[in-house]
Amino acid sequence: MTAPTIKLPAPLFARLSPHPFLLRNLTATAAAADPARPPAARTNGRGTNETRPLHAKASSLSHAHGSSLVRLGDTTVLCGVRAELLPVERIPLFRPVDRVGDGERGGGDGGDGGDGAGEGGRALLGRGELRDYDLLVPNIELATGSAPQFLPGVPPTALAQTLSTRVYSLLHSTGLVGVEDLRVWSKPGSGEGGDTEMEGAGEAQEVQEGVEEEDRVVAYWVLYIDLLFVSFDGNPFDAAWAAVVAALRNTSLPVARWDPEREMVVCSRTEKRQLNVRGLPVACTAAVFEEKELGEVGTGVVEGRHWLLLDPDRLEETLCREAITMVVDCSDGETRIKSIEKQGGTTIGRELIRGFAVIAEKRWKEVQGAMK
Amino acid sequence: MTVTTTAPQAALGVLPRSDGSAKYSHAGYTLTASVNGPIEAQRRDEHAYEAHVEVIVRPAAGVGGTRERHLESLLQSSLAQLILVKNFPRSLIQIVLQVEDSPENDYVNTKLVQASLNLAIMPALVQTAILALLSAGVPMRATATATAVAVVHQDGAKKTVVDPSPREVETARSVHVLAFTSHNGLLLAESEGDFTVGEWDDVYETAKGICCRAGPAKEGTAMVLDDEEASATDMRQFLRSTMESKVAADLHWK
Amino acid sequence: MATGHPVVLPGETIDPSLIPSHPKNPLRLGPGLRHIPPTDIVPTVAGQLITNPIKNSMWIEYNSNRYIPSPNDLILAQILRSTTDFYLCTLSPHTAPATLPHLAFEGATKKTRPILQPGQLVYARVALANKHMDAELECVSSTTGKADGLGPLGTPTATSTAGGGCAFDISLGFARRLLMARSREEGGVGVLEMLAGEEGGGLAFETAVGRNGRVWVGSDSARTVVLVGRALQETDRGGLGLEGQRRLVKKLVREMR
Repeated sequence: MTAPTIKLPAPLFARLSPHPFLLRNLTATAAAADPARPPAARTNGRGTNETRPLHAKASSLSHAHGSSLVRLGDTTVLCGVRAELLPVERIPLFRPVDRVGDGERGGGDGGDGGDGAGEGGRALLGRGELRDYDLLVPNIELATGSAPQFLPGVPPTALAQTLSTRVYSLLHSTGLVGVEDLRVWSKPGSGEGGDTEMEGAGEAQEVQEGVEEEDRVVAYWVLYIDLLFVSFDGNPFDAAWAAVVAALRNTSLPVARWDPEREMVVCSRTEKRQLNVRGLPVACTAAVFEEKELGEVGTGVVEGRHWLLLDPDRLEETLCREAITMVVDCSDGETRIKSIEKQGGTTIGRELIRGFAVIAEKRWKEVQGAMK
Repeated sequence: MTVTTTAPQAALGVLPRSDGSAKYSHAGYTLTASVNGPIEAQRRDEHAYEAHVEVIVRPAAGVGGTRERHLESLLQSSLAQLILVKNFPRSLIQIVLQVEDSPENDYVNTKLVQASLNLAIMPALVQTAILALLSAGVPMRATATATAVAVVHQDGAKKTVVDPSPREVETARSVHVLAFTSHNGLLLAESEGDFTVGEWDDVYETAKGICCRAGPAKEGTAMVLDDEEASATDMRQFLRSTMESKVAADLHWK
Repeated sequence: MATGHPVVLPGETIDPSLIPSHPKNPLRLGPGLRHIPPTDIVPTVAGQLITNPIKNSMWIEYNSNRYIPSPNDLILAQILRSTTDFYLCTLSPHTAPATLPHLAFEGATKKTRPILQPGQLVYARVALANKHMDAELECVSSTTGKADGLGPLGTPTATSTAGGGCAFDISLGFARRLLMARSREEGGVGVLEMLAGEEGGGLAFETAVGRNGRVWVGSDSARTVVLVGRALQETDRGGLGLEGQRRLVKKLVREMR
């Protein structure tokens, strides 16, 4: 209990001294041991292991090839995917690709024949092309006004740049999008063709090359993945990544075909093909809240208590130094970890990371339900 | 080009004008770091109770991009845990890391426009920064050591590769960077790829064996090590011997 | 000193047998060590652990370039500008200025305070150093009211007749060695004695060594100032021993002639 002489309304207390406020919230109910009340709760009323429900809505933008709107509590992200054609002539250092069934190797991924294993092995294929030709371009913008710390008219903040990099690396390392979906061949594959072709307004590109009999890649689709934070209340990465996955699952590319007479790639106006998205990687973030404000770490023993706050909000993020993000995919039945990012402290050790995999698994099931 | 698994090399105080500096090369990477501080912080960086740690990563060519910002934020949050920031309120400790050389890669279609840094450079960044901080005499809680480990699937067998080459990073199933404090705390863990909890555990053991060798008793017999190469690198011993020679040179008059 | 002193790194545990245990005197911790209650003593910098069982003290011997003010250090400050009550001075580049009150000079009153121009070098003592405040300097002993050699440098005063002079940057470790009471025996620096002695042909100069890594050399002859400054800097950077210093002095004197 606070000193009886000073009585502060909760919002004022939170504003003046956020750290003791959160600490008091986490400890008070636990100490009371009142069976009627829930166990230790955070200032936002959630339990330490309780996430905010994720709401995903697809196709919210009419002019994008794919889009999604993801809400995670008060964090709202809008994601739009726009595809543009990149003719191979415009690619410096282009390396031709053969269509040799599934065993094909894109650009930089030559050699290493022993890579036989199913899904992970396929994800590897074409990773080189995606990376070398920059076929996936994520960009994140934190809208002015989405949170008080984002000011208008400033260059992208370190946070926005860091998020973009994380999304970019994860897109490549998970192999969410396969390069075969983005290739446009000079001879249409079976089941395509016979459509009313026409030049896609801004997308058909001139290709100046002699007629070749061989089947070859003439162009690539480049996916521009733009994310806009409409409102920001912590845990930006989980929301951003969910939005990217939802938007890509919603993306359909027009069927593109090489027209040998006009020597250009033409897109079908009506016919569209759903983008193939492999698996469903889900990000799960937690922050470590330490009992001691500006606490000392690194003396061997962990001083004071600490709490792992799942899905931290903005207030909690400012009070925590250490955070962990784990990306898991359980779509094959088995839990595969796609990424671990842990930084800023030494509280989370081996045991906590192991335990966190179970929490992330649970989160995956929740998100999977929301994405349906 | 295969990376020669030679022992890491370091030189301290290479930049006479800065408060502390270090040049470090290992696994094909060469970096130079300078540390200045505590110095006066800019008003917007000023913190009433602790020093602001600023990390700047400069790539070998061109200006830094979003990837460098990401590496900087990772380093910043880790180093701020090691430096006794509360000893110097309202001040700034600036760490500038210049990449001079990174291992070349003949197989991978290297981008001409932007030489992107990847996770594999992280251990070198951590080591160089720590050496430069020690050289500057910035008070710290502990030191740290870091290493990169890749899990490669070859001919159906799993192989753990320490200090992977860019080629190995490219073809690896998963790549991991782990940093440990001198109190054996896990300071930084960055992993990407596709792996299970069990695989991560093995990687953790391998990395711990390199970063925090606790005397002669080697723990974890299950680790699949690349024979003598792993036992040759002992980052903590390396850090210690580097600092011992620096201190001996400083205190030659004793 | 004994060579058995171990090298420690930040955060390492110190062998309890090395910690001096004096029956009466309290344990005194010097630079580079911190006490984590209740009983841990942990190094914060890399260096050599030195213990003194007689004084029951221990510290870390190391060298660095960045000066962190600590009370009673003699330092060489440069006046930055003047405010109504005090001068603002720099102790090292890019750090917050230290304050030097107008009245912290020998015999200074509101009317007779010294007027110092920006850029003026002052030899002063750190009166107050606190991590939350800018350091405060003084040029007078608060107990005796005497200057004891402190004050503006390079202008003819009661204690100094030399007109000109120049400040040179040296490392903090070297400054500490120069300031040792028996710098030749304990610190291994004899370069100043040699310059003034027979090796240097009896040069006439004055020095003021600041713990902030700056040394002022004053002499009537600019040639001597440069020679002494170079000798000091080269001794520091080259890590010269006594014999090396003797050779350096001889070489410099020969070149200067």
